Amino acid sequence: MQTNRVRRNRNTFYLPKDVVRDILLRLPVKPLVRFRLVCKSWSALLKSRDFTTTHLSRSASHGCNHLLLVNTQGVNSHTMALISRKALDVAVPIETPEEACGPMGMVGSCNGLVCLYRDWWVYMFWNPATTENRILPTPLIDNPTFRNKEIMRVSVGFGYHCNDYKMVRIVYCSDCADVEVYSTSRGCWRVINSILPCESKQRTCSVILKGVPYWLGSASGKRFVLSFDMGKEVFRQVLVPSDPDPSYKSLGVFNGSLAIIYHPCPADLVSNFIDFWVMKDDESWSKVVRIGPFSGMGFPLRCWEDGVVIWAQGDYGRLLVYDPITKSIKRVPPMYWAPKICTTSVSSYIESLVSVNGRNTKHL
Amino acid sequence: MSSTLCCSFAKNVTLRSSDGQTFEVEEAAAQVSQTIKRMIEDGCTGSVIPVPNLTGPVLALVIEYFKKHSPPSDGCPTALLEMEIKDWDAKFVAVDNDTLLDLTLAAHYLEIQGLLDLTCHRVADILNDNSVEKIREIFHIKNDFTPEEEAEERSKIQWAFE
Repeated sequence: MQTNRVRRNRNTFYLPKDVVRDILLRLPVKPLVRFRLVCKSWSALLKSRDFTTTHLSRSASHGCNHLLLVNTQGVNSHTMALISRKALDVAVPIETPEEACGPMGMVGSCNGLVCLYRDWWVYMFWNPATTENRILPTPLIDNPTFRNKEIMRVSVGFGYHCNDYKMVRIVYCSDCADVEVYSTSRGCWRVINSILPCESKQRTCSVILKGVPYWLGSASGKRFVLSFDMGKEVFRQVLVPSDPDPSYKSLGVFNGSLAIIYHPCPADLVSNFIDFWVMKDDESWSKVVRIGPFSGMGFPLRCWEDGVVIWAQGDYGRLLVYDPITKSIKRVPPMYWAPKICTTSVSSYIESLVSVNGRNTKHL
Repeated sequence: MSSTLCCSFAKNVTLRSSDGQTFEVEEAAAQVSQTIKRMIEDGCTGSVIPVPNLTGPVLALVIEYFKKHSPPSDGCPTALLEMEIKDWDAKFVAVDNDTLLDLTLAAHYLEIQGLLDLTCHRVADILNDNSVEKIREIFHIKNDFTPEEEAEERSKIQWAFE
């Protein structure tokens, strides 16, 4: 048995460090930020990388944070809102930082950090739970004169490897593509020589799963899922499951795995089914479920969680959501704070203490 | 075999608190504590087991917990029993803050994972809605920030106080 470590009278009472840690790990982010003011040792503990990481994995495994972040990007403005898996028809607005002005779009979110963008060259890392944000330095490939090439379009992805949060930026020129990476550990952009196996027309990745961004791409008439390994900094591609082409596809998540949803008969928008395919072992697909038919719903935006499907209706960030438990469609009321004409994007989200600088300190 | 009969065959151990009070408890119940379990396995059962970190009143409470959480004689707790235990647990930790922290420490020292989960959860619930000043009071923590340091830190996270 341990020796007597407790000294107890009115003024001094010590809970061992690991018990304090055990208690604090159970709290949501907001009080934890407040409790940085309790004393110096709590402040150091709450800012530490070890605490941040454990708190995050605890929140994830307890399933108390199944949230969907909804971004609407208008012509001059943007909004953000949160939808919980438990209440699919309620969107709660969240304030974006003052620095995020204008029509900010969302690249995606992982580990509580959100990556926002504006135009082709303004990027921001933002932690909505701690309100911390950081505008990234200007990319290296930032203007049409870079290497005297004409930039056609840009596609970006966000993710992480270990505790290093990264952005990958693919700049398509007329005859080639250049790639650069920003990482929080280096704090700067680097042009890398990674071979891009296929092209993606998407402006941002569709999904970020376990720190890896995924896009739909194509090469030589074939469709692929393109991903970027944030550790090795290489692209990978996997053929999409065989399907009667042409067919509408969208990437998403199904029960923690990368998923692709198909409209098997895209011509028939009046009454259509949605097929879910799930990726196994990073290389093969298996069809898991078919839902529907849905009438006049148009193309879905994303699938999420245990089979939730989200459709965006355009104005005021209006959403339709399919709840796989009740097998019914729910309407998210119009978000009147959103621009009337807007592009909507969604990403799964979890509250965390992760720093936008990737600088949660090491602490014992 | 009925539980009364079972008890008559059960082996008891004696626990002694920091202030010298002794308590007799069934060996099986006391083994809810991993620390005591190891001591029994190491052959300390013949003599009194000292529990120097706990005062008599706290040890008495912990023994109540042991009794409620000792493995049932038929080895398989029913759903009804589990619900009853959950209710009992909730009442067990509905105590004043000092007693709650004593129980938390006891669970830590005696390695009673169930009790540690229960008390930490309850403490976290209490902390959630309280001010920084109240937290310092509950934990008897001295504020070691200078007024300047505190003001500076507070200005950075003002939103968390709204």
